[in-house]
Amino acid sequence: MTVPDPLRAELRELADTVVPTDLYERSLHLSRRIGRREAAVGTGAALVALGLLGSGLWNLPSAGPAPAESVAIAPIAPPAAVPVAPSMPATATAGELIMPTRAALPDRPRPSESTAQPRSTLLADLPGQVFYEETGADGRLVRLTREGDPDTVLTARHSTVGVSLDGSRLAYVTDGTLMVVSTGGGDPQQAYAGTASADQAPAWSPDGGKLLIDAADPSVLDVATGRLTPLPSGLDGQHFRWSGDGSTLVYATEECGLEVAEATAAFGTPVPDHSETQGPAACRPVSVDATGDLVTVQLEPPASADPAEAPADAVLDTVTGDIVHLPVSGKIIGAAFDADGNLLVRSVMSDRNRLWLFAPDFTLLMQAKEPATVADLDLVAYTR
Amino acid sequence: MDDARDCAYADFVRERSHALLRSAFLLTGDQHLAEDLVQEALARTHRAWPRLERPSNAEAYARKVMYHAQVSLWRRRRVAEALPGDGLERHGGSIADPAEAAVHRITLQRALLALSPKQRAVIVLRYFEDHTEAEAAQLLGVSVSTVKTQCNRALERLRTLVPDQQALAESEAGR
Repeated sequence: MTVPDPLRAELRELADTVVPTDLYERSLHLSRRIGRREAAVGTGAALVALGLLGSGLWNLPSAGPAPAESVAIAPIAPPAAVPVAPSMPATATAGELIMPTRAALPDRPRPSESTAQPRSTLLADLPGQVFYEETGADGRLVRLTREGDPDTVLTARHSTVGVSLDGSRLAYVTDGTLMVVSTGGGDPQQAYAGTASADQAPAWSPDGGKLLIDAADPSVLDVATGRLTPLPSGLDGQHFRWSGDGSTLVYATEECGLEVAEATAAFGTPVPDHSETQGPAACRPVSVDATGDLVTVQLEPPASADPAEAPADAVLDTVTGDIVHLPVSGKIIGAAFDADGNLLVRSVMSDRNRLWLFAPDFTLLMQAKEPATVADLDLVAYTR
Repeated sequence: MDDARDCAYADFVRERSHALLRSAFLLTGDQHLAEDLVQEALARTHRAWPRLERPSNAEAYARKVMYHAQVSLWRRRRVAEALPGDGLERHGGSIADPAEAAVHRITLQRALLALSPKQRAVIVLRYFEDHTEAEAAQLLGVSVSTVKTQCNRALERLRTLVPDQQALAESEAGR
């Protein structure tokens, strides 16, 4: 006979407290509702298709009417500018929606349909630093640079880790304590005690002076002073990420949607969700481009669990909610923006990994073989 | 569905819904959320019933739906904020006393809710339903490596939040 261990016994005790309930009628009722909804969607789609066919709209040229006058996008702060920690603006009142002034600019660069010729095929031309994490208990963090020989930058046990946008520092959570350490070595320093990390890996502000952490609620920590400023309650979400210019926050809602908010806004704006009609939802932003226009996400396969720690595998347009097609060959197994909007994509084909580096205008700067020594690691971040 | 299938579904709900509800309660930490979760799992199972080759597959299907719904829809509320017992994490001591046992349950419940939905799902699958890592991975649609990682992180977190779990977490981590 095996001796029951405490966790198993206590889970059983806790489960015993649930009150038995007859769910037969409720489940039948919901089943019928689902059936009606599915029928309505099918009928609606058919009617829309018939309407389009009948109207001849399907045959119109794609140019369409002249676009409405565009609203200016939020000015991009220079890299040296210190972003303001998100807080309730003085003018905001309860219920007042401070919406981001984002708009679908007609000239936003997008990648071409076909794979372009890279400017370089040498890893030695990689300008930034790539960070990988070992899957498993300890999660060793490894850095790859143009030198081509990966070096380990973190061996300490941690639950989550965030890499600063210049790649010089790491923030990680271990046993509820937030630690900061240089990637160049040295002793880690405690930055905060009492942080949860499951839904919010430490996210560095672009200037490296602040960290967005989950301290009971999502909050901005001033690393130098230790001052903690909770995010406005209207920014209700998790997995917050800063845009490279610090103007915008992108985060996930608890309903598996994405929202975008200006760093000083009290409320966010939902990213259009096409999961019902066009495919899977994006439940977790991983990295944001320079302005908050694009975000790398990890798509959830239909009827699959949300791999909350997995690398991003797609780029999503935060204005339209559309997935941006990336002209890379093979399956995408990682994607990360740096603070300047350069996009590093990692793909695998025939068991060989490749790295693709796109400029903010999607010029293919580099396409190179990835060193085999990092093949089994997960892409975490790409930094300057 | 025809009458025979209706009867089979009714039997299934009668016999297995409480077992599903127990798991759902650990996943959600709330009676009503647990009922909603099981209701959804059962409704989806009802819709899929004609496609299930054997009624015995129904529970596996319902559990899969339940775990996916719980994880992917992030049916997570900050229930811990609404629960009594702030500052109870460091209680320690015997749990022979009923009051102490209740405190202990609340502490564990709060700790579970502090985990991510997936970590919670892995803990329930591994230590409540006694699934292997491979089975848990298959149910959640993730790799065995992800299950191991999530499990270790969850145990680490539980060890922090519930000091009494220190010994077990260490022993479990070594398995």
